[in-house]
Amino acid sequence: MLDCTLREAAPRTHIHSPRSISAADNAVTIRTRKFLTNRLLNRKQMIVDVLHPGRPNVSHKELGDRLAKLYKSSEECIFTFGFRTAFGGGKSTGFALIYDSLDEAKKVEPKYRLIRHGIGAKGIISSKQRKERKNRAKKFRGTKKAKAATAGKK
Amino acid sequence: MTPSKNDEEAEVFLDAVLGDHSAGSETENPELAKLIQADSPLLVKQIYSIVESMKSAKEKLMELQQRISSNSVPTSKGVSLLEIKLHGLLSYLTNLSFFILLKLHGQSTSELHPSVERLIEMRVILEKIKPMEVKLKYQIDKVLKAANDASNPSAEKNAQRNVSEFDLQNSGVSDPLQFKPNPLNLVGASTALDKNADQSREDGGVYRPPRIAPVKYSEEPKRRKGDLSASTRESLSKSRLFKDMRDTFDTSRPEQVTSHGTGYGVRELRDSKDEELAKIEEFELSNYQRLSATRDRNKREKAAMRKGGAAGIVDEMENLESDFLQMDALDRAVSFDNQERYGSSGSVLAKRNMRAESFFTGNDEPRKKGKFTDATELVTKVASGAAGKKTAYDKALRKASKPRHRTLGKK
Repeated sequence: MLDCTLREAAPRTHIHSPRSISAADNAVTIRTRKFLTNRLLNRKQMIVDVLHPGRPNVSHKELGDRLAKLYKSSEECIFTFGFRTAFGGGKSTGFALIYDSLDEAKKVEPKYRLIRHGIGAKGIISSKQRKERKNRAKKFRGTKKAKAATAGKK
Repeated sequence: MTPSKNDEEAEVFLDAVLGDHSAGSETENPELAKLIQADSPLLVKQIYSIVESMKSAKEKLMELQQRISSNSVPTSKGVSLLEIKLHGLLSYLTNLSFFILLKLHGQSTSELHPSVERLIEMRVILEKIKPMEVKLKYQIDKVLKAANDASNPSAEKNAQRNVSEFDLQNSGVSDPLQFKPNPLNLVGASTALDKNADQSREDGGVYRPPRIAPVKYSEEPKRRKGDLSASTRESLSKSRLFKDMRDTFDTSRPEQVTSHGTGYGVRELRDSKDEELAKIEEFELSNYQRLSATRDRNKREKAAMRKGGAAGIVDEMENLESDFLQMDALDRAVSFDNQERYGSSGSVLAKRNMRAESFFTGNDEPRKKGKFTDATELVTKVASGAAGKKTAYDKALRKASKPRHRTLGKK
């Protein structure tokens, strides 16, 4: 009797779906810790705790959207990285950097993170092609190397 | 001023003030009227005090004026900072009195009157002078002291102390304007000077060291045979073997369960692996950088997993050697303790015989089982501080108080 009354009294805000129903229905909570405004690099940096019970971890894009809403900035200036899911699932911890503007971000952020955001160009990745390029450039000295590389590609 | 006179004056004042207002305004602010009535005797008193202090100040001023006009007090080439301070204070006072006058006449002071600007300026200057004054304080004091000493004849002082002029010059006492630190100015320096002078005269200038008997220098308090070192004790408390032994044999003790994994434990209960993980975590969060697992860490983790480390099972055979070494130390300590208590053999039989004896002879002697026979004795002894008599410090005290050594050579 007591149990029933308690259950009725408690307000239900989230309905935790079992695994058969789509996992995206679950609520995702974002908490930030150790918030610090880094004036030297023109950014705000923080540790982000994401609670996502019942679903695998949250994508960078979704996190960026959420944080943009929280901190009133645009998604293009938010860079998230280093997310590790805790054992047992449901919680992951990572880092987020919110830049004042995209220009600042381009100056400061390392290339791989810009590429993840879609800003920078990747360059040649395959090792065979890289080696071929290097061997072509071995024949020349100085600025002629660059010319040789592009010429060789054609 | 008698209080009754004050009240009369107050009444007169009140009439003067309240009589100005028309009947309408009086009804408008009865609170204001009340406030005025409450404050008026105080105001009258303060006005009288102002008048009195002004009278005394005037007298002093007249005196000073006379002295200046007769040129007995030099007013130029002094410390310029202090001059600024004086002029600043004067300007401040004049402007302040003007400001008070403005307020009395009821003029609004919301717009910045030039006198208020002056006030602010002077205030800032005075505040800036303060730290500079602090820095100059030492030198000013020195100059004053020099002036004072010059007035008193210092030759008298020297004669009293039998100190040569040369010594004084060296120490800097005779030249008060010398600003270097002077150790002789410390308290008690003068007395030390006298003592040395006396002694040197007696011995004829030869230094004779004081006569004290030599005492042996001991670096550490001597460790008893039966003592266990701190490291041994720590490792014993942590080792699993001894925990198990304690659980089986010392049944009077409450059972200890580790708080591992609950998040509430004392920091010492964390083992090395927890410490490592915590360190890594701390580094990662403070440096915004994830560390990847290194090769040897991975190897160790794999090896531990293979041994069944996933379930938290620790290989006891690994730590057995260290456990036995500790047990050896413990055994030595226990045997030494037994030897002390139950005679030179220190065996279990001796202990049993002793107990049997006391039982049959009915001696109610306190058994040497422990330092105290029971709890009440422990409490009373510890409270009275009697239990502390056996520490090394107390022993040393007793030794020192006993008259052991004679001074070499008779006096």
